[in-house]
Amino acid sequence: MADNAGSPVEFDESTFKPTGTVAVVALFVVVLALLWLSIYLILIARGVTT
Amino acid sequence: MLITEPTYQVTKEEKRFIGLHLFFAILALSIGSLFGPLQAFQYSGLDLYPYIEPIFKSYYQGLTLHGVLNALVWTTFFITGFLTLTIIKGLKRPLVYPTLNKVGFWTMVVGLVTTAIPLLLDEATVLYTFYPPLQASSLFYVGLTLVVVGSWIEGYGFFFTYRAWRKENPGVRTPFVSFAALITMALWQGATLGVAVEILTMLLPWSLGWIDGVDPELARTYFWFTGHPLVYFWLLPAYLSWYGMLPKQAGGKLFSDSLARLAFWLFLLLSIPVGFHHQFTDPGIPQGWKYIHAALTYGVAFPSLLTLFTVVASLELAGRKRGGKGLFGWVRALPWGDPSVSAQLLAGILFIFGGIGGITNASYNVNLVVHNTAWIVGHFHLTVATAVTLSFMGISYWLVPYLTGNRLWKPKWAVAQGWIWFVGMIIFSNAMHVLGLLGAPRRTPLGSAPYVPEEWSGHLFRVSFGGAILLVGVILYVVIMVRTAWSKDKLGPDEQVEVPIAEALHDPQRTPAFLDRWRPWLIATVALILIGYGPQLLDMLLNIQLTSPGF
Repeated sequence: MADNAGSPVEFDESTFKPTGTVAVVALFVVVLALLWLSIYLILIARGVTT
Repeated sequence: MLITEPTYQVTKEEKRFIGLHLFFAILALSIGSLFGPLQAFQYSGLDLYPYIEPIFKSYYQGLTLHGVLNALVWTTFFITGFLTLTIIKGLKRPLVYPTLNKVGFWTMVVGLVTTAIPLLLDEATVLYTFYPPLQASSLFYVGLTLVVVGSWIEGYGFFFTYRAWRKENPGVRTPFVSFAALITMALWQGATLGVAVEILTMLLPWSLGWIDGVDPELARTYFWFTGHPLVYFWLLPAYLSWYGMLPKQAGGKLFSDSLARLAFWLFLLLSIPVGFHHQFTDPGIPQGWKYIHAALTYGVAFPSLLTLFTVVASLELAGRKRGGKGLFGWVRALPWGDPSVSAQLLAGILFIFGGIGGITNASYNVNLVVHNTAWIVGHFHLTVATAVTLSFMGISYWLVPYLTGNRLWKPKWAVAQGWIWFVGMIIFSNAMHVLGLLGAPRRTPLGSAPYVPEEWSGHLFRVSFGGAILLVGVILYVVIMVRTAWSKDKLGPDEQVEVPIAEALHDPQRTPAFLDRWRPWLIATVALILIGYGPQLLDMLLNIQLTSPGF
């Protein structure tokens, strides 16, 4: 199941810094916070129960 | 005396044994999945149940079959088979007691048949959570017990094999894929104590008429002792593949062996004493205990975040080695044309949203917005039906050719199958989440409900539409598996599929030794369970009310 989407290149693994990964994780945290907040606002909008 | 070989070739008999697990798993999936669309179509008013009524009696019988066969049987059989391979291949040695594992497997099969009989006869329409006072035929409980006991026996076979390997390899770090398999099985053995006690002390004697009633609150507590870590029993084999195999398939390495091991230990430690977050609306559980379990549930988010970081970093490394540039260019450079890789990548992408929704479920107050609504159904279709199931489908695309020596039938169709599942699940799951926020209840034939407002109709249609696409996806998967397994198109000597075990970026021998020691983690796990469940369970047992009759 070979794939031609990307071909191996010379790459020094010892200098690898996962910058893209940090960006993905940061994006995840922001989306998580926004979606959680949106549900929290729905909770608040429904008012208190008595 | 068994000797560890430097490269162990899995025997034909071992491959056949693993393949039998997959056969029963895919058989269960193919039957169970037929009922999912029936539920989904019912949501938009297309009720097909009357047409199959001579065989299947109700929406709820179909829902029970869907849940039991897909969530419990497909997963358990696939996982025990897959873990057998990762134990053998990782430790580079055969099982120390193969007969024991065979006994475990056939016990599971007998259990499956015993469970299926009352399910098909409409005598166990109790949904996959089998909450009392809904009462099933005693055969249902006996069968489930046998499935669990069989999987325990297979687990003992793994533990004995590990012990033999450890004696031969003192001081050597356990190969990651075997390490992950052992933790998954240890988690399963601990977690299933809840349903074992529930069935043996209450449900089975109750269904046999030996006791008149049950205590539903205590039964629910036992169930969720198992129910939440059950999700991790499903997820950890997918994580095993994402950490320990997918990087190799993508052309990279595992970014951090230490972080991977730490995440697995933390899942073992934290995933059991969190069950009360499924019981936030149960009046019989004091608020304080609900808060404690909510806090511990947030704790599980930490190894989940570790997993996100480590798996994505491993993939980024692979993408950059394949020429990917820029902040996100490595994503495009990954081998999306490989059906096994693309299915697992798509599963991981959708699981990000499953994780986000899980934080909402875990929050004591915010949970009240979504509790027992269609949101929950949308959520677990992102977890068990995508992160787990789509990953297992992706694993099958190399595993079945590996086991049979046959070429994968129509690899491009297999790539399309992953995308079909992905698109179908986006439509289905998003609609379910939105319906939940609008207040639609779960486990309800909404197509027949008189109270459904017009506002829901578009979303109900999207549930049906997504369900139809998912049906196409699962049929395509089963066809590819059947055509591959029974194909005459053998792989040539130079084309043989190997088990993709990823090398770590740094030597695993440099991983801290405490991440390869069982005793402290097991002691901490037992202690946390006792702290998290002990006092409340004791209180419930001291005040047990075996008064609820079945119906």
